[in-house]
Amino acid sequence: MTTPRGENETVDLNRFNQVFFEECAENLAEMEQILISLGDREPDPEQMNAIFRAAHSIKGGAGIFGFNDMTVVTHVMESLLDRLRNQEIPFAPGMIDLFLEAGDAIAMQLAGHREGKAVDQEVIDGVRARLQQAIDAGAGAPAPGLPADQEEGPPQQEAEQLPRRCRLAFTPDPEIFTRGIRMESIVAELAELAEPGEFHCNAQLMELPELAEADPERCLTRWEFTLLTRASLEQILDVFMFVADEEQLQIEEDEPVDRRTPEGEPAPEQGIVPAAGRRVYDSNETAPGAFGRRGNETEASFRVNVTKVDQLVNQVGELLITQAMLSQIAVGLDPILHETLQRGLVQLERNTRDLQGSVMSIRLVPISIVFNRFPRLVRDIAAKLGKQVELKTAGDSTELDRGLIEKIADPLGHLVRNALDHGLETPETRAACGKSPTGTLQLSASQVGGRIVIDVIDDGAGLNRDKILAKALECGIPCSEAMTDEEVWQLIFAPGFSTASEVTDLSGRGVGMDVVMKNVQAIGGRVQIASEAGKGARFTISLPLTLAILEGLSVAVGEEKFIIPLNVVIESLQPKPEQLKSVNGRDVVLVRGEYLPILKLHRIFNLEAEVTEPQRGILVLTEADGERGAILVDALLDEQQVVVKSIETNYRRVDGSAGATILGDGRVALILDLPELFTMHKKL
Amino acid sequence: MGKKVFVNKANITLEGPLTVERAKELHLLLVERLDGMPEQAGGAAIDLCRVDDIDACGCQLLALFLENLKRRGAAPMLTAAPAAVRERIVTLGFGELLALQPEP
Amino acid sequence: MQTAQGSAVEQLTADGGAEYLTFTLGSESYGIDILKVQEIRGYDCVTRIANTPAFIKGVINLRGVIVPIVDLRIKFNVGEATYHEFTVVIIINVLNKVVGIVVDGVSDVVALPAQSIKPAPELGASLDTRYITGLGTLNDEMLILVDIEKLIGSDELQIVDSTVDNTQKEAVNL
Repeated sequence: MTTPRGENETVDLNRFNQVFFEECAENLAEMEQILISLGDREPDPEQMNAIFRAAHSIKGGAGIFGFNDMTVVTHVMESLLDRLRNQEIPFAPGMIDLFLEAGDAIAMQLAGHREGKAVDQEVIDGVRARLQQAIDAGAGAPAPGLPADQEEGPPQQEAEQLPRRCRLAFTPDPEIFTRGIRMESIVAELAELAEPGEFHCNAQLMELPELAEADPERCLTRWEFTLLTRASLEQILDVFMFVADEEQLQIEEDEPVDRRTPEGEPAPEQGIVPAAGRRVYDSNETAPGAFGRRGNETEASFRVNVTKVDQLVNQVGELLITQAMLSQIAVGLDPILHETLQRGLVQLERNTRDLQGSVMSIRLVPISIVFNRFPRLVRDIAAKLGKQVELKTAGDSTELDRGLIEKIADPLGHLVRNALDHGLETPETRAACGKSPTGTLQLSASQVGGRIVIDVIDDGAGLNRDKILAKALECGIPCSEAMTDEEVWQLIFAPGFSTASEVTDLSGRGVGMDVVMKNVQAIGGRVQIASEAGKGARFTISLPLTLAILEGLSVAVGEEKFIIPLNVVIESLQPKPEQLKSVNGRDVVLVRGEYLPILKLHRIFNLEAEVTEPQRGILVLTEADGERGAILVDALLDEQQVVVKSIETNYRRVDGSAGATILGDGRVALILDLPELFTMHKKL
Repeated sequence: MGKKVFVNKANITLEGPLTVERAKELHLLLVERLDGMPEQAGGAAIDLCRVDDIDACGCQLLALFLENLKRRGAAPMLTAAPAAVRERIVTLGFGELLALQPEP
Repeated sequence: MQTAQGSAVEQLTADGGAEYLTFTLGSESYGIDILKVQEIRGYDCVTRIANTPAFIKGVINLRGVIVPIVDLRIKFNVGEATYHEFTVVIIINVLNKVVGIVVDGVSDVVALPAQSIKPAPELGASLDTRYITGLGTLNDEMLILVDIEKLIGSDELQIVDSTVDNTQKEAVNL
């Protein structure tokens, strides 16, 4: 295999680095989650092991991929954890914070490598020094347990700790050299697991080609390791976590040997154990459960590149369009003559929908991924502000599109900070108001109809109407005393608005709530506020379920077709003349005692429409964000599922549209954004 | 790189890091040296005294080079490896393949 | 990243010359770097977009991708903006965007050696000098070489929305 290499080389390397970055981020998150859940309690052995493993994995991966700076903090952290684990050093409550800080430091280094962000070396050095201090201080203290390198461990671990002989055969991926993997780190890590002097490594060439014909970057080497170790199979497999992706890794384990057994005398063999640990699988094993990240995970899963999933979603989208096109053609055919074709098409439609559902579900992830970040944030901020806060979450398992999860994390974080900073009062103030000194912040997610609703609720002071109005005036934002509460609350989303009397480093960093609004709107969401003075405030973000597929009603206006999202449609009607009125020169329609404004699409979009007078057309009654309106169209065409396409990929944002789709006839149709249309209508 | 003239046909001195980053360059060099090797060269010494780093890829290339030399009837020998390089070779399990001479 | 790409290509053309796709706008002949051209197709099924300048004809479906169409004839006020079966759309791929431009007609692909390209003087072409990389000569006729990337990215055409950052675009880019 002599594929030409060149510029792809670095790209390839980045791709493999990506695996490490992701694993590293996951390990950090896992570590943080455990640490936060502890409060100030001492971790139990299982938790301690989990934290240790996370730190160890990061260190190992960093070494293998050559991010040596990242091994520095992890190494000291690992040493401290190891001593804690072996009870050589007593646990101190302050260590939790120290570990959290160490996690942050590592995360900063990770961000440095991943996104090129600045790394504050002082912070790194500081954390490292304090970790070392903890080790040194602990070493002086009387240790409750036994030193690690003593022969006998704590009784409950005795069985696990008996050394046994392992033989590993590692046949790496031929590309291992160019992947930037440092074999020497792997060997060194493995050697660390072995009993002193009980490690042997032997490399063999699997092929011996003529030198001139050999590809010097292709790995022809196979390694065999023999070691006497007390490490678990998982620990051994962890060493190969980043390298043994699809390669065969074979492990033979002997029965534990008593150290008194003469060396080199093999104990009865247990046979070959297929490596079933994380990121390693046996290619012959296709039974469910053979794949898995961790041995004990019940639901097997494996990592797939996001672009592959997106590609799948796109392709299903194309299939949906093709299917719609076929159905449209078939409408014109004689149903009796083409009965089998029609039946086939019905079947195709059903299959396509099923496929679409399955594919879309791949993209869904639970919102707990985002919620899990907040305990830490709340803890830190509350401590800084001297506030007592209890964080509650609900609906953690609510699933939403992966793309949305990433985009919602920042706005949510901002709302949480805002609630802690401006919403919740200090314990003294709360007590003075007769409230419990501990405030409550609740995050809840649920699916309501076709949307995901996320609430950020606090039982603080609520929004202050007068203060907001005064501030808005000061910032030059148009406002008046006559505004309703809801309108006043919306003022805080105006660009340049900030009520914090002094800029704090929490929520008043110059970025205001307008950024929250902008970010949420960018993903088709809305933010609403409810507030009661003295009782608290509720910020509600509502988001579309998915960004990719939409149930829509296609309508015609002149030559053009538009899609109205079905979730905003209440009903459609042909108005009777007596229902139509004019108020202040604007057309309205009376429906069940309510006057609704008539939005003439042809006027908003400057189109030549066949119908310009409401009584001759069809009105589609819609409701979005608590606002109602009747949209005047020439005709209703069809109810259909449409694949949402971005106009912005190749063009700019189009006012009044929430994207576009491709219809069965291959033409592009805009998807209407109702709230924006209402605004545009008012400006006409 | 211009046309090379090898002063000493049997002895080879390698320089700098023997790592994957330089694998192609080293490969070309070694192929050139292999072609220029006289038949029945006898004991060909590969001097590593100026090598400052080696990785698994470099070890593999060296091992392959040695095998090719042997196939041509030579008895190659790695000499004068600095301690760090020697240690790395052993760590990587190439001690036997590269037939490192025991340290003097 | 975009600028890096741009400069790399500029360098390439500056050093060794390149191949150009030539087309006409009114009475003038223009050339654009062939490497920026994705394909050439006919003009049909354009969906209008409201409240845009007249030279933005709308968007089309190019194999599932939504692509805006710019009529350069209207933009530069040359030729006749009629649409029929011979109307040609050149699909350009620059700045990570795919854009269709309508021109009077596509002529040929020519290779111009670097030394035959003269710098663009301030001349009375319909196109602003900012978007012209140089002048070539082809069969004694002047060929105006267009920096299509700069043109597409310009505020004048309003295709690239400079106020929206990329992260937001991705949100609906599924």
